[in-house]
Amino acid sequence: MTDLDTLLDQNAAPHVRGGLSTRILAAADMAQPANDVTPRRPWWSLGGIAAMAIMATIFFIQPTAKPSTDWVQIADGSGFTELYEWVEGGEDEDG
Amino acid sequence: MPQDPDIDLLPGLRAGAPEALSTLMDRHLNRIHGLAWNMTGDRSQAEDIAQETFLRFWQAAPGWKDAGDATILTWLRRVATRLCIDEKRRMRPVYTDLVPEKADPAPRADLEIVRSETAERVQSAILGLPDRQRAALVLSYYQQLSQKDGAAVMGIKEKAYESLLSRAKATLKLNLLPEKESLRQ
Repeated sequence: MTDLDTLLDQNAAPHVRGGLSTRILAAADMAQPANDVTPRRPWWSLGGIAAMAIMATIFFIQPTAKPSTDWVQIADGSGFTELYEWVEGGEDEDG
Repeated sequence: MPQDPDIDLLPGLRAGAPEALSTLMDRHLNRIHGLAWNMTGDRSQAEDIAQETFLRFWQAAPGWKDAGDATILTWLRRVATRLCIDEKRRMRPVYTDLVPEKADPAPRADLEIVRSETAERVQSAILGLPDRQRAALVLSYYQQLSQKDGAAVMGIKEKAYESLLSRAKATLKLNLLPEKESLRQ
């Protein structure tokens, strides 16, 4: 053993402190594998898509505006049948 | 090429089993921590680097190729060495809430102080070496690697490693051996 070896020997590294393994295991528990490509988005990041889907659904299921039987009955009951037919069915009579 | 002695842990590591990581640390944490300590001279930094090294392997394990050209331990040493060099270049302050350990009272405390001072001078001389020379010295002396294995860790050719090691030893002899002479007096 050379003199340099003897000197270097005196600079031995200290032992690992007891809690280090536990600390690393705890950190590993939180760590995500580097090649894990599964998207892990928070739930709220999907809110925009959900809102657009709801708005689209509401838009497409809205009833179109055409005269319903209810309105005819209401017109009969209130005495405005002629006026109603003139407004809604005038074309047929004229044509 | 001999088979990686840690290959038995790979299925568990790939599956994300903490027991496998725990066993890997039982086998190598002391070595990696020691490497980091010899490279940085700072216990807290050495612990941080050891943690980062194992976490990086933990994250990389699912994609690890067991037919590769490096063993798991070589990979751990390589990552730790690079982290140490990066850490020294950054020279960022380290904040810790750990209370410094008290020295154990021991008989012949005067000799202990002399030895500790010598150790500090050795460590200071090692830390004064250029990064790659320091890495070669630590791998060769404190990790007891052959030139071939040390070169593999550093990712350089054996001749280049030999040259780094030779220069490191020459510098240390120049700086430390007068210290040795003073101890003899």
